[in-house]
Amino acid sequence: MNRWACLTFETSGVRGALPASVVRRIVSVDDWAETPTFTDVDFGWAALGTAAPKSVLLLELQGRYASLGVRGDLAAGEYREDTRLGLDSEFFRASAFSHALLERGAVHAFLIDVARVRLPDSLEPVSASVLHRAFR
Amino acid sequence: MTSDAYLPVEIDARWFLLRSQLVREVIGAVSVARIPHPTRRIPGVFAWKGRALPIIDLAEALGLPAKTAHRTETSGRVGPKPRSRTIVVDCAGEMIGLPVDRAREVLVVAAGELRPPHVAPVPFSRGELTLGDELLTALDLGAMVDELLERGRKEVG
Repeated sequence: MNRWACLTFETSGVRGALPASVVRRIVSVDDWAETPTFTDVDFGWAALGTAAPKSVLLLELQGRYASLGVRGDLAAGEYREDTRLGLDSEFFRASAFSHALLERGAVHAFLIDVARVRLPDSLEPVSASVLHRAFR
Repeated sequence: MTSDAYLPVEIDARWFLLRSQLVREVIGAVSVARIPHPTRRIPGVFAWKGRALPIIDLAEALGLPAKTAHRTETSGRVGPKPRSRTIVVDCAGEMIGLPVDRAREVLVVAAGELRPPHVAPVPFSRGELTLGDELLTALDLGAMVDELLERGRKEVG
């Protein structure tokens, strides 16, 4: 049975999940040098960035770096195929924020559809210098 | 004379009729996962047979008085009132969950028995049926789903 490695997080009261493969670094918000190059990801329906993040996820999406401020409630884990519930309702199609709901016991997390995340044009392509500027 | 089968469901002490051919399953209370920027009408999703289906709060969609709907507010968040049954319906290809307080046996109603809504009109009403002392309102779920989808598209822009 297929398994997916994911990182789950909470932001703005919603539990989200990202494939572990797109998460480049997790840093304390104190070590984060916010520059115009980086921005909270817009997941389509609404940006999920939290107003008072404790941590910042540095993500590599579509060949560019983006950031996502999250609460400290981070958890990495593997999810089996039978814990991945399809989210294909027309009610959420226009938003495209997620394509599946991950289920672990009573905890649910929306798996972000990283292929459909809308990134601002201002984001530079991935490079070492861009990564260097992300940190104090 | 033509007739239709309806599932009677109770919400906040009012009875409504759902066309039984749309009903896929009647299950118990479900755990609702909050979605980003939930609305009162669509507060979240729930797990059903390998899918995550939207929950529609009928009390909100029908505009039932808040006095009887008892909205749940915890930590500043709006949540649907917990209800003991969930009706899973397939409406125009959309699978949705409708939390209700109770459900009864299916009723077969002749077309002539449904009266135009006038005693207790609500949005999406197809007609009213009087059964003893009870008034039951037949709902047009298709119209409700269409309007909610249209509203959602406008909100997303």
